[in-house]
Amino acid sequence: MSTTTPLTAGLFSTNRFPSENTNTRVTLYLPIGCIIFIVRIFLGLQTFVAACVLRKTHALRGLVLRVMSALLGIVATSSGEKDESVRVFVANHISCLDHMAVDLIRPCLLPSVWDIPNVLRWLFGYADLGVRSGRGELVRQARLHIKSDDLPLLALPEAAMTNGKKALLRFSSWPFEVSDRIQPCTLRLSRPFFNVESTIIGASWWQDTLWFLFLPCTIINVKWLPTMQRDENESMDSFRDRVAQAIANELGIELSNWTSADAVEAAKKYRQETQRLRIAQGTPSKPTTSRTLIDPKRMDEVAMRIKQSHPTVALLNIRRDLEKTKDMQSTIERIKNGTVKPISTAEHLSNKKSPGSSPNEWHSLYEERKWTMIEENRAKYLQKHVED
Amino acid sequence: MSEPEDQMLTDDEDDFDCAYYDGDDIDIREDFDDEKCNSDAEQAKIESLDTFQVERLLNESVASLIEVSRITPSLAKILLLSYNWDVKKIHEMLNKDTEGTLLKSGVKPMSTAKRPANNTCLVCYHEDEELRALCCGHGFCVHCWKAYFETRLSEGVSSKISCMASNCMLVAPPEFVLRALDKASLRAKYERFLYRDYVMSHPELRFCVGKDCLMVVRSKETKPKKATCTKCKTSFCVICGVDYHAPTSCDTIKKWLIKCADDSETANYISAHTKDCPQCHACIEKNGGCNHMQCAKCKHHFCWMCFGDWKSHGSEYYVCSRYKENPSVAAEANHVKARRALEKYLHYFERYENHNKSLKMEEELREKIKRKIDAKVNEHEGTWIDWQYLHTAATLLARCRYTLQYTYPFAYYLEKGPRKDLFEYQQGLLEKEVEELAWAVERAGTSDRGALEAHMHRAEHKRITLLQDFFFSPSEYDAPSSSKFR
Amino acid sequence: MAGYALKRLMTEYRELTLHPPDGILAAPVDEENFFEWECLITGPEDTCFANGVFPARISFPQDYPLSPPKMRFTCDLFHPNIYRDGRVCISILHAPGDDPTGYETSSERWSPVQSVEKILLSVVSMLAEPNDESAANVNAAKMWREDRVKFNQIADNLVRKTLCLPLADS
Repeated sequence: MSTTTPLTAGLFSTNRFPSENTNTRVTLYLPIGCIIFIVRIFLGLQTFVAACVLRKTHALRGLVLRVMSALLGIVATSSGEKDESVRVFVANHISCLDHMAVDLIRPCLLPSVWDIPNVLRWLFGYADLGVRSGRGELVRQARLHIKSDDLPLLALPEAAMTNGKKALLRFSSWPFEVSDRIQPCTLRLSRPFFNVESTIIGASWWQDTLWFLFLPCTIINVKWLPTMQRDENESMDSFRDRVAQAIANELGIELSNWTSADAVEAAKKYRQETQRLRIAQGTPSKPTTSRTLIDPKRMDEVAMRIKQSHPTVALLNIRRDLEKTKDMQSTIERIKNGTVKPISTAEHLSNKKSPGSSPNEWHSLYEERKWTMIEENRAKYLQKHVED
Repeated sequence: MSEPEDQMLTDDEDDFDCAYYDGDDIDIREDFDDEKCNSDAEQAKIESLDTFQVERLLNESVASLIEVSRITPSLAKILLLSYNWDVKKIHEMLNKDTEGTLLKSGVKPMSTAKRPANNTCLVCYHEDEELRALCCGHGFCVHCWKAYFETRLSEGVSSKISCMASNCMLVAPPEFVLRALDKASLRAKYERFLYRDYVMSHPELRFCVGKDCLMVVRSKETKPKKATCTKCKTSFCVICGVDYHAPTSCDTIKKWLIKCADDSETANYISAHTKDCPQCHACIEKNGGCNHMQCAKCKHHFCWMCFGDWKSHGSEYYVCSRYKENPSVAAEANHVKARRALEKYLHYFERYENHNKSLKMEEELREKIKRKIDAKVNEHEGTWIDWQYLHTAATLLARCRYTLQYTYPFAYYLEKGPRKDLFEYQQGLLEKEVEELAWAVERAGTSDRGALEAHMHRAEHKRITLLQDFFFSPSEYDAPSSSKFR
Repeated sequence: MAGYALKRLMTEYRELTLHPPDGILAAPVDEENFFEWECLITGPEDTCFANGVFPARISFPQDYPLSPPKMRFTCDLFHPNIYRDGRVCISILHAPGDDPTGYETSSERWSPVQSVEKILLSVVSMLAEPNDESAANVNAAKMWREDRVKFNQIADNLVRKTLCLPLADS
């Protein structure tokens, strides 16, 4: 079970409710939560429109959005001093709204990794920096961006969400190639009254978002750490490690060797495992339908298998019966109770038909000849080996 | 314009040389004459022919064959094609074994067949068709012949289309093919291909590689010398058709160019971001999360972390335990070896590419010098002829640098040993001279003419030394004469 | 072009159905697609493949019969001239000119007058007499040359597999 190591390493949560206590609380809160949730969906739409209409650099925008997102239950607080001259921020990744929280405090762009239309991308405050054409392209475009545009870039070099309690994933090095001056910041997420995890392993982004809208409020604290500068002779990797260490120290957690790819694999594995468990515990009606034989090739194989245990029955008859029953078990039953008769090959061969003229007849003739051929050769083979 | 004092200071070595050479003016003359005949040695003796001239040449061969063997012109062409236009050899072969020669080249059928019953075409199984046959008698319907020729033509086969019957090697003569093809465009295509085949099979003829140039170069050269088309002025190697490449042989330059096309663009990226397949050493970039890699080239399964065979990872799913136990196995010998090979390649490639770039830049320099000469003549500072030596110097610089550039592929493939040491020593000398000459040419016009000429002389001398081996030693360097280009 | 090929394939299908040669069966996989055939080949008598019934697929190009079809066995077959994935390497399936096998020019090549029947008969004779000079499966060729007993044993097991008989102990 080597694959579950990232899980057991405590990087990800598997359960939204860390304690039994929370579970009951959430159940009690459910009716209120639902109302709040519905109201917030409409509110959320307006916030979204407001966010799109107002210019990113506009002073009013920050204020409006902060109020509105507070109504949505998302409160972003900040501490520490933000450095206005820095063009690239680096943060740890703990929820799907990390970018929004940072954006509320300091408008910024996040390189998009999804293949979504340009309009949508712009609406969400993502920037397409060509990440899909490879890392080199991303770095190149990001460099251009920080030179030309005045919006700084936010990078989440972990590239996958963790619970932020145990360790950081290994940082990707691209932000460190883009700029030599980087301001790290730490993100902490807390939910008063309800201790619900912001994300769990294998959860999709929309599930996480729904939880945000459902719970009364979520506080995301952004703490700006002092700006870090790459030394002249320092390698990209050691600069990256230094920044990662600073963030980890501030959060009081460790650095791990797991990469985002490991996280993705772990999530995939986890999902498969739960699905398997669900199937194993599921109703027994499913497997029988899946055993229905439709593919003729499969049917050939099954016929051969049945022949092995019932050598007296002609292959052709088994195959034809399978065509009718589409099920191995029922054909075996039918052989046992005599519905499928064990005709000897010799008898069968005697009634050779002359082929008709339509291709359809030819094909059934082919099928017949095929099984006869196998049958015949089988008999010959056995005979020869008995003699031996 | 830079100050003369400055020139004086930096050029003291040249001054010395200058004084030395001033004494032996005659010696230089002689050497330059020598160089002249050496650069002739590089230049292949060629004759540029246009389509009509080629046709005439080929027809002459056909006529001379008909004279000695009395066969029809179209059969003669097939015969000539399969014996590479060697009339003498064909004549010999015919004298020795007429039957066998004709059979082998597909001029005469091995066996003759009777017309099939009720005129059934054996390809489409249609009955009562009008059948056509070559002299072997295998009859097929007109449609099948047409479809057959079209298919072969689309595969690029033209001069060697054989009869459709199995194991009948009889070649369909052009008249027969042209009669079956009904579209004018296909007929033109067939004739074009046929012409191409004729030229390609002729040992003395090569197509000019210039873009859209229809000229054919005729040469009896056996060494990879330089050919220059008289029409489009493109220069190329007379044997293999790529850019002239002395002192590297045709085979070597082919290997080198393929290697460069494979690697150069990405070589830098590769060395930084990829690893090499432990089996075939192809470069691999990891683009997924799983450490279980399969080489796209040799299909070898291996682990990204430890470079071991994946088979040893059987039960483990995504994590390499070998790597966890001992991360140093990643630096396995194979990996290191492959990386070192890449480094060696990059060493040579960078130099090769650098000289190529310098050549391009010096092309501009030459233009500049031309303008400078014009300006000087206009200002009545000497006549045009007086300044011509500057132009000569720039031309010579380009020539030397060109040769220098092509020494790198050769050195790359040269095996370690005294020969490589010697070659690289000579290469080093040439490189030094070329750079000095380049320096002098850039400052030409202000510096001493004598000094510049001394530089020219030495650079050319070093270049000739390098090429000496290539053109005048008979063995090893020789390119196989069969490697004709397409 | 396709209509031309179709007509020819129909004729061959009819011919093979009306006059089936011994030990060979072939038919299109389904009536919708005449360019993909299934066929069965019986291992020739007195060879190690005797009585085996080996299924294979033949796929025809759109310009059949001007270009040769491709054939691959869909069962396991350990034979010097059959690739591991079942592709058959035999001269009749190659147009004259391309020579991936290194066969001599004298061996029979594809020509438009060849047919499915001729291909299958060639494959039968190939099963009987492997050409170990131009091997598609090097291991098989080596074993065929050096350890005939073991080769026969493997072949026998493959035969048993096609006949759904329990494997002999090796």
